Order: sequence, then structure tokens, then C-alpha cells
Amino acid sequence: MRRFLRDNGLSVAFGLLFLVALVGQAIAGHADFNNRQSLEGGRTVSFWHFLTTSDFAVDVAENWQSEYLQFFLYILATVWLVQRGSPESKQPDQIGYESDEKQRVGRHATADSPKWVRAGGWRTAVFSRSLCLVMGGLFLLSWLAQSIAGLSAFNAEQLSQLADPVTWSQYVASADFWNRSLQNWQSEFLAIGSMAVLSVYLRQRGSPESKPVGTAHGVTEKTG
Amino acid sequence: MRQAFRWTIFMIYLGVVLAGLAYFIVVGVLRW
Repeated sequence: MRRFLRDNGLSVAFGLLFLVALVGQAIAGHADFNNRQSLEGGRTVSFWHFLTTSDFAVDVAENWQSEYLQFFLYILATVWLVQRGSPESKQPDQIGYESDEKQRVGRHATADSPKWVRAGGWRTAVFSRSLCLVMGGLFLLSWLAQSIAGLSAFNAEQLSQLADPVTWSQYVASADFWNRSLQNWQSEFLAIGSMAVLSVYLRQRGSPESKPVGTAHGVTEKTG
Repeated sequence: MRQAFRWTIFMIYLGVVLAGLAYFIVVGVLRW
């Protein structure tokens, strides 16, 4: 057990943090929902009922989509864009997909390479892009979920104010949908840019996200 | 064995996210 936790600390710790924060969001969201219902003369709902409301669904989904967009873009952008001096970047002379030899594909695959790498053809092509494909796919799915739950929450609000409900296509062109999307995107893009830039001149001893403490600022190095 | 643990964690993460998204879409559609 101890060995399991040591070997998987990152995924276990962040999995637990996610669950705790999600429960916290549900509790706070429920209280906030009922406060607004009381102010507007609507009926309050139980905690379990709140979890089945589109208000809860859209709040969670809009954050998920922006996180997956962030990682999708970051993984893809770092193939082509570099930041000299940043441990988040590769060396400027390695821009692009790099050689088969460096990536250990084709005739450079080894006996312990993943099965789809040794298979060649379309399977190697798909596996070579699988991280971006899954991150991008999860972004699109989350964004779709946000749009559907958001539409439902938006229309409930419209109806409570005796205004006309809108269709899905009207909703995805609405200010509400884009305000929810862009307010999350801007913070993700700022965070990515900050990580790339601040790590040029700042260090965290022991973290693989940082360069080794004594490394010169101009050195673009992968791990610390 | 350790490889199996890592694969299980991988599937749990992917499963939780996909199940969550399916749930949000169903909630959205049902409350449409």
C-alpha cells in the first residue's frame, strides 16, 4: 500500500483534491442556488435535487472544458512554439514532430515500445497523436455538455422572467454562452503564459516543472 | 502488477470524466 501511494502520489492526491473540491462546490452551489431562489420567490430544493439541476451541470462543465482546452492547446502548441529559457519548452532547433529516431517510431521502435508503435501504419499515426486527440475530444465533449446544460439553465431563467426560451443554436451564439466560455479561457491562457515565462527566471528546487536551481536563465532545459 | 495499478488509475480518471460529461449532457437534455 505504501509503495502504491509513493508510486502514484500525484494521481491519487489530485484525484482526491478534485473530489473534495467538487463536493465543496456542490455544497456552496446548493446554498447559493437556494439563496437566489428565495430572493426571487422561487422554491428551494434539496441538496440531491440540486445535483440534478442544469445550474450545477453547467458550472462544472464550463470549468472542465477550459482545462481540457488548456492542455490540448499547450501540448499541441509546444510542438511548434518554443520559449527560450523555459523548462516547459524544447530546444529551438527541435521545432516540429522531430525525427523517427528521437521519437523511437518506425524502425527505431524498441521491443518495449507500446504495441501500436510496433504495429506501424494508421495505429502508429493515431497513437503518435493520442494525447492531443483525447484532450481535444474531452474539450469538445465538455464544451458540448456546457452548451446543453447552459441552454437548459438559461431557459429556466428566461421562463421565470416570462421571457421567450431560446434554441440550442441561438444559445451557442448568446452572450451568456460566450461569457461563460471566455471568462474561463482567459485565465487558462494567462496561466500557461505565466508558467512558460516565469519559469525562465524563477525556480522551484526539486520540481520537474522547474529548471535545476543553478541553471542559467538562458538555458532551455526540459527537467530539473 | 504495478503496471496494472497504473492502468487502473488511468481508466478511473478517464471513466470519471466521461461519466461526468455523460451525466451533465443527460441532465441538460432532461431539463431542456
